[in-house]
Amino acid sequence: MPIVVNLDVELAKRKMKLTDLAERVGITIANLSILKQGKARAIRFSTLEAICRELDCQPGDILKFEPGPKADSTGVV
Amino acid sequence: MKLLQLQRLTGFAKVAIYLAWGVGLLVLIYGIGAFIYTMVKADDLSDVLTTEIFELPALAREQAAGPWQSESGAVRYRLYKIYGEFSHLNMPRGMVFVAYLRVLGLWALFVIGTVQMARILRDVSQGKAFALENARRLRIVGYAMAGGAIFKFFMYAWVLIAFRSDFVVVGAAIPWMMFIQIALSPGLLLGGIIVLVISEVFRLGNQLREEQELTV
Repeated sequence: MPIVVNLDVELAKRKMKLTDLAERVGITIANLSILKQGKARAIRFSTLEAICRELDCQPGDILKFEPGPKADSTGVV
Repeated sequence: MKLLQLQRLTGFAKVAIYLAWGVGLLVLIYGIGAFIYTMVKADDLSDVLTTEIFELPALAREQAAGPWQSESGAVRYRLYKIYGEFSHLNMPRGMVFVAYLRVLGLWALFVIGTVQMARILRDVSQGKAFALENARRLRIVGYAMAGGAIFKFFMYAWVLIAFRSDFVVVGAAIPWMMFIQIALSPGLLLGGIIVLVISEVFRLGNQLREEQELTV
């Protein structure tokens, strides 16, 4: 997928665990794990806002665009 | 009215589906046994009495002149306007085979359909209504219904063509309207098509569910 999620990098910088972030953001660890592994199809602005607030970062620190294999037809805006 | 409110009917539907499946299975097992018994016991050479459904005016004149023998040479028929017994044991084995093939085929499709519906209801009760597997099961039900209507039509057509000499007098009009009324099942065909459309809705529903599940 062209959108790469660097959540684990940001977590490592802050020495924060995934479980702690999930609890602070208010989503399940399963959903956060889906995002971390790059399997998510879409992310809500509210979730992105909460993650950036807790990690004190910008959306661009977490999400990067790397052109690669063509995205599937179900890409979500 | 409470009946018009959108209540979950899963429990009621489940009972109905399992009951239909059980009845269908019992009828199918009985039908297979009856078929085997009939094929063993059927006697091609006996006189037979049929109900008035097969009576034709030209045939009535024919039989008044004496016993009438079909082109197959295997069976003699005497047709009376009576409410007598229609015994499949007195029919040609070929016609009996085709008749049982039609009935058993339709009941087998019915059992297949009810089994799939029972599995769908099981998933619905577990909160997995839009699983991709259910779209596939609904497609099977739709094909079973529509296919059953088409299968039934061609089986009746086969009987009419292959055994017409046994109940149609040469020169008499073929009872097309009776054939069409008996052979066609527009409700079953339309119902099958509707279920196929619903299966496509379920397939789309599965895609939307996956999108929703993978949205964080």
